[in-house]
Amino acid sequence: MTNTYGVITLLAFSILLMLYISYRSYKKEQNHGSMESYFLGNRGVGTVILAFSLLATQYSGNSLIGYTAKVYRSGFAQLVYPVFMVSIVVGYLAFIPRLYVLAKRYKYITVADFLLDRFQSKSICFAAIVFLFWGIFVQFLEQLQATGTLFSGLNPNIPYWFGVVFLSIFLGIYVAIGGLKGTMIIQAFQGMVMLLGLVLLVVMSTVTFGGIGVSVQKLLVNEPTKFLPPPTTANILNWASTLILVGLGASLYAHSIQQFFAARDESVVKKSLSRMTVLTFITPMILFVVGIIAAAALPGLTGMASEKAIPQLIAQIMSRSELGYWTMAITLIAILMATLSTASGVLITITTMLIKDVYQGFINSHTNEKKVVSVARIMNFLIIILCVILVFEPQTTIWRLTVIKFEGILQAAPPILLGLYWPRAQKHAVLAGMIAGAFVAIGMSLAGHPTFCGVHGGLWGLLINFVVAVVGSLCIKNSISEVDRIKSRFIHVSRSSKA
Amino acid sequence: MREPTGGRIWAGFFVFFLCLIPWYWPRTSTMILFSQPAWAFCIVIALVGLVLYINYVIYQHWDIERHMREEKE
Repeated sequence: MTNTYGVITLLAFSILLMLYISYRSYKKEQNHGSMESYFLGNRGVGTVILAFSLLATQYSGNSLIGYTAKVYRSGFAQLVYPVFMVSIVVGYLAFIPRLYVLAKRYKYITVADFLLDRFQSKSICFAAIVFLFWGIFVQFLEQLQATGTLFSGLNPNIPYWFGVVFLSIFLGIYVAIGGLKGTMIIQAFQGMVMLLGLVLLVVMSTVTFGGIGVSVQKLLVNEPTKFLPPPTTANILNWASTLILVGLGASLYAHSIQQFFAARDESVVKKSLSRMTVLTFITPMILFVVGIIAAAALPGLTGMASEKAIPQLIAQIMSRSELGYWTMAITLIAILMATLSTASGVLITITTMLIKDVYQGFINSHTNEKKVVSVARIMNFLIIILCVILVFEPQTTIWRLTVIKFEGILQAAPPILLGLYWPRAQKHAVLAGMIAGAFVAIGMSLAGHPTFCGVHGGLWGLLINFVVAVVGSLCIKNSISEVDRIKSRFIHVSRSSKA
Repeated sequence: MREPTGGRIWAGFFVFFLCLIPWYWPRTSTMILFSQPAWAFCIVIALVGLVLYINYVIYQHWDIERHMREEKE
């Protein structure tokens, strides 16, 4: 059992610092009551803040605890983890360059603003909001579950619910104060602490249990299946499917897109993505190595117990030396930071979507901005209470939650991609595609067949989704005036691109 | 105007995608390279290649806003 006083002291210091940053951001920001200020930080976010906040958003409690636990269970076959994390940037390149320019020009706050403008259809907008909302809502649940797992794995005397409630209260306060910009500045700080903590984790794991070489030798002797490449064709297909599922799915996170919209200019977006690519390669490689070391050093954990592999590895290092204790205290803070950073970005986007896209878009479009921002601050707490109730008794592994999340988000990809690049994409066809895709993805999951030939149900759904949207658009054609409107507004973003 | 939407750019991503899936390795390979399974080492090298390629695409094939600003001026 680990003495947690040192960790709590460091944690208290970090919490005070984050609350201070949030308060400073609130005082500094002009135009407090406006939606652009609260939801997009007045579109004035710079490179360092954007790069580190994106990193901190992508790496969260679920990636640090849940994905690493998956490496523990599957061994090298889970090398797909760093691969799909880098692939997320490829996913961004598929649509962010054009969408960012359009968002700035037409003052979009969320991706739903673009869909409404492009398809002039509240139904498509609503369906996309449902899929994107599903994704970020599940991600928020993952963060709460990961914090509960972290605390209870570290010290069995700490109940699971304590981590969940602790994270929730603190999160609600600083998001309500800081808005998006305050949250992004804190996320950047959290991203830096996270990197430091992970470097300490891999160094101390290597010193304590032997490096990757020793672990590989142990696995080869004791658990050779964790050493070998994926054994069957279905496993190989599952690898490819996971790569696309997460690579494209995570790039469609509504909160990440909102963070891009907050960037000052295109060069900030480019530099941030460039830095993020490198960081997003280093970070999961560190976690992958830690997962392999844990698999060799702490064999025998299965099912839900394996979710606690990393907290237990940390607890063992802490119990062996003073240096181990304090370095791992920093690592624990780093994991909590990663969880908080993602949860905060997600929380503010959940509020944005509920208020801006759902309430203003479908119920009352004439609310004044000051009232919207005030309601947003209160709504943060209501969402938190609902989520705490939902994760009080964890029902499934964090990895399974991740897959379910991306299967939903992916169904929002065709309207965004076709909407940006294909003037003939027609609203009824696109909507039909989304419904068909969701039907396949949800149907396979409910039928107890989450994969077919190793490929995830969400990916089969995406395929059907695209086919229905494209074939339907070729049959039900847009009017000539509509095609001209789409070309001039969305496809020809500059005069020379018309040529 | 440069936008990363060209067929050649995405063909490049597709090649990396193929290299990043271990379909080309014998399923029972126990070869070790630099303290790792050889198949895993190859995937890591391909991943480094992808990181470099992404940066090349970002800086050489993406320049929309500056172009639009120049057009305006």
